[in-house]
Amino acid sequence: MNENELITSVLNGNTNAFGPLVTRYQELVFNTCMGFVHNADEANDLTQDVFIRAFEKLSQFNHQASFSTWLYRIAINTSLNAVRSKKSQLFQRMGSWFETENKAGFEMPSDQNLTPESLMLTTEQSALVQKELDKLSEKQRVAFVLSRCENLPQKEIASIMQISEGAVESLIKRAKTNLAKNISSYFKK
Amino acid sequence: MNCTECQTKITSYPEEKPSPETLQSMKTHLQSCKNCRALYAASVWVDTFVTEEKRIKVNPFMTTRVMAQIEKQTALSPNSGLVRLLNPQVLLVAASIVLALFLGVSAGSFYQPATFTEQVPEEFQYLNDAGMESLTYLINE
Ligand SMILES: [Zn+2]
Repeated sequence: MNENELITSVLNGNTNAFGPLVTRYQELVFNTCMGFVHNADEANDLTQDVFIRAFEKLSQFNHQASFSTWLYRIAINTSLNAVRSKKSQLFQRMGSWFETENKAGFEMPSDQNLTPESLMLTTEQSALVQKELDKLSEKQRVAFVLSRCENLPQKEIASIMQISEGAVESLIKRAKTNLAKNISSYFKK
Repeated sequence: MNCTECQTKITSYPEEKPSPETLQSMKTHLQSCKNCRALYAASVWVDTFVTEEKRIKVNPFMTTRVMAQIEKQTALSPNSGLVRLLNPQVLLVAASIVLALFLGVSAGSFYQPATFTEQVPEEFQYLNDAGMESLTYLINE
């Protein structure tokens, strides 16, 4: 059965036809959620929530966008809700931890041939990147997650976020500039 | 290459990949500019963070998990299963059927059919009715 046949079958009462849709799109949903919560257990729980919500609202899927675009939107909304609810407490904890633990700053990497493949981040370095990612505006964050965690082309991101491609490009650029500037401020002068 | 150019290249990566010549002039600039080197290193940290995060895979039993949850919810949904049975109208109909059955069974149990209980005298007990002569025959005689 193809995707549309599976959807029709679920809508006609064949619940089991939803299984292949979960299998097909579980990674897409998980990676998106992971990009927001940075924790495997939490991302798995959110992935389950996203699919349950998609199942319940399947009759509202109107085929104007692709099924994956529709799922991305549910995944983003579910993740943002989860992040919003724990944002204040997490920021308080992480903010004070950074101020006390990392006042001295990080040693700046001296190697200019540095690549993501050649590097392993320490727990503190990962925590710093995560903190700065979480500080981005929601729109910058969504655009960044879809472009870097999901490797989506700007056209598809524009369709998911329902904004222009130019706006997506600018959001991604601003996200990356903010991240680089904020993280580099932690390097020893 | 100046700082602005270098920083634009850093933040445009990987959407815009620099040519080998641009990459060489970036490297030369980074060697002499601490500010740009810090930005570059920070960008690599972000890329590394994303790369590490992408290695984490979804729970291999996700489909089973989701389908079990859907089954549980479907069983409790207002349109089926247990909840439908707990609907007041359904309960009323079920109660009426039980009451009707109870009344039927009770009425059947209390009904005593009229039975012939009189004791047959001993002298008639061995009487063969079939062997008796017809009364009509005797009258016509
Ligand atoms: Zn510079």
